[in-house]
Amino acid sequence: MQADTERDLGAKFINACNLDEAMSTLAALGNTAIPVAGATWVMRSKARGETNDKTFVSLSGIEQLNQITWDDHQLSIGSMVTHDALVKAVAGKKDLVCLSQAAGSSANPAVRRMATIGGNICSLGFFASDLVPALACLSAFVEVQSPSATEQIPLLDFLPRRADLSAGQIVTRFVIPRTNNASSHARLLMRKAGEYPMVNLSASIALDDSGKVATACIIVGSVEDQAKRWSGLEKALLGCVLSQTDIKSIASIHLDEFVGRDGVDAPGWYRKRVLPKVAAQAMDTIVSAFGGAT
Amino acid sequence: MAVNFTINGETKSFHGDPRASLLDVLRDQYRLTGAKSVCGEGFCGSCTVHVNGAPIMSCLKPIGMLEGADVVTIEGLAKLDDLNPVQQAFEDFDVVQCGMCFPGLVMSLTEFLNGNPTFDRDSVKSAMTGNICRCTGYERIIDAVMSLQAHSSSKAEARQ
Repeated sequence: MQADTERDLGAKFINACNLDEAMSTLAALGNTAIPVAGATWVMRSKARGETNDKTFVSLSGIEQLNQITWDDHQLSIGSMVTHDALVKAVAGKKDLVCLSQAAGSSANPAVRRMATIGGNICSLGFFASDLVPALACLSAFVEVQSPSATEQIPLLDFLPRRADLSAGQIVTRFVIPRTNNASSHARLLMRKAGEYPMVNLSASIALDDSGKVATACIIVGSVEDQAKRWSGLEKALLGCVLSQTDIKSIASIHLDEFVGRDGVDAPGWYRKRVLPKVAAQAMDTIVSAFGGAT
Repeated sequence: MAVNFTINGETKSFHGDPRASLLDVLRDQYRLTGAKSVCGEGFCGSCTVHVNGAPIMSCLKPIGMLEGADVVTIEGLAKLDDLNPVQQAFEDFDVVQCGMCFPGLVMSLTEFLNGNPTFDRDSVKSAMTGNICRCTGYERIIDAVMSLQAHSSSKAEARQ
């Protein structure tokens, strides 16, 4: 543990050795410090025109936050797990395909070795996260710890609250219930890879005994400032046989629930325009996952 | 706060602001200018170095996170008179133009070859996703890497 004198003298970088130290240090330093995960967002502050003279409290040395554990019912992913490690951990799991696709296609290989799941979810002002829709369609819970309490919050409920986390609160892990669903993640970029997506979409589908859609969770990211459920398309797909359904046409009918955001990469109207195609791509993957049984 | 780590096998102790990027420290403190400062956002790959054997964007890594780390830059990858296979292939295929992207490309592709004894053009392109070149159009770079297919396979067999 670093000496208290370093903290007292205004040290600009503290490597927390354990979770208690991280929480107590952040609570003590208040808004003069920030928790740092992979650092890929904070180190770009200057490029965003932001100044950041806060003390970094690095979480990279906290082993507890790097753990991935499984049981029959759920997957637990520590908040410091990198995209690269996540891809390797969930490979081959049909219900988690959206997660491996999202984590495996974000950014580029070098950044995927550095960027963490916790940092990705907690980065304010980052509208194009691939992990957010993937985790949301899997009904993931975010676990937030503070010295006095531990709370598990559904991911979509957590997103509007992340700006209000108090000093000393840390996202420690993500908990994903396991299912017999098939999932997928699709994204559209200006080029083939290496950029933020203009649009992304994750879907998790369960079938009934006759191969028709029993439940559908479809989360759209990057079209608006925050990822959200595509309720209209979800309802429209219930009872459908996916392989016999014109997803693109049905999706085109349900675009009004989105207000596309304008960005340097694409205007809002374009993000909405391409969304049905992205939905169709995601559903093609799910049809394949079910072996064409839908 | 002192950050103690190795660069190209030499022990270093850095006493500046630990929030400084590894890229800035390499270039400004240690005059290792092979890693280039271009986009500053982790997109272009010109700053790629190896940290504990893995290629990372040094512009995005605070030096304070590197206590005990082993950093290898393009300067330490091979000797000038004994280039590594990727460097030699780039020379043989005459692919270097302005030179800004190549240190990062070499770092990325060296690790790619170490982990992939067999590969195709698409997997080479995937490995290069984080390295942007504005001069070459990439195809000759990929040709050079593909020429190493036999070399990489024989290395893998030797390890077995």
